[in-house]
Amino acid sequence: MSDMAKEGARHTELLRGALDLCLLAVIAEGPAYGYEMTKRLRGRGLSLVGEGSIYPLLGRLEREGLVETYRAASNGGPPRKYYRPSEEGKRALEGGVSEWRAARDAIDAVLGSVGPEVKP
Amino acid sequence: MSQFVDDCRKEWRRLGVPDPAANEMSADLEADLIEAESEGVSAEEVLGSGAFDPRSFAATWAKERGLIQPAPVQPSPAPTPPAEQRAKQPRTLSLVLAFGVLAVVGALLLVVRSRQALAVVGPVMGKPVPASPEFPFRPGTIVQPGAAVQFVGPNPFHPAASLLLLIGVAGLITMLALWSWRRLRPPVAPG
Repeated sequence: MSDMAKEGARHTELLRGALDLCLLAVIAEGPAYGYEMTKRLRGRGLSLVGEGSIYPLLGRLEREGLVETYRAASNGGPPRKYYRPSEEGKRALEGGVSEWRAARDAIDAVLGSVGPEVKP
Repeated sequence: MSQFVDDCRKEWRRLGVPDPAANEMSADLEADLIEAESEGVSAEEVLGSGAFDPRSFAATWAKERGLIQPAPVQPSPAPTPPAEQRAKQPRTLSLVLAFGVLAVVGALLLVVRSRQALAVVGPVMGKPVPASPEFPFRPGTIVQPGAAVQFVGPNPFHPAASLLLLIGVAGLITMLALWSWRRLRPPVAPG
């Protein structure tokens, strides 16, 4: 596996563990339909190219009661399914963000001393 | 309807996803893809890697929504030996039994023969020793005075019995060696 492929695989693994939190976070800012969430993620530099789709993930969040949905007309388009976090989803987001930050800080503590010029 | 959405619908129909849910997912997907296209955004930006595999994408989405049951995990059946091996097992058992019977018969014959042959005589010159409780065997003849004890009588060696015992034991040892070799040899990789 090339270095680029390895980096891509690691990026995918990292994103897989946090994409549900990212979705909850972007709909916590305001209800959104599927493509709108994609745009919000991309606006923060998180592209889904080569990554898993958000639709199955939204389905799981819905099944687990972490999001609520409703249909409403979009801007001049057909009615869309909007998502927003449920109360349980908000609690899951808070807990998940705490876990993410704790893990990130621990990993930073280990990797922080490694200069970017170091090649494995 | 785009080809991607059409493929998804087919997969949902195949999986038995209820029509209302399939219609809803199709409509949402179609609207998102149209909007993305109008903004010059690729389908991969919207669908991720699922853009290249509509069937898998549709199945995963339906499964995550709880619209279909995930395929039950079948417990692995106990490994069954291949037909050739199954056929060999009774044959091996028969050979072991046959060799065992040969060895036992040979040994019994030798024991019986040696008991018949065993006669103990004492140091009585020229006179046969009568059978007694201490020497419960048919006596032979004393040959030399002063000899402490002497076994006389028919030769306990029985060629047929010895041959049977030899074949039986050799066969059993061979079978044991073969069995050990089969157990210890590394498995042959398929292909």
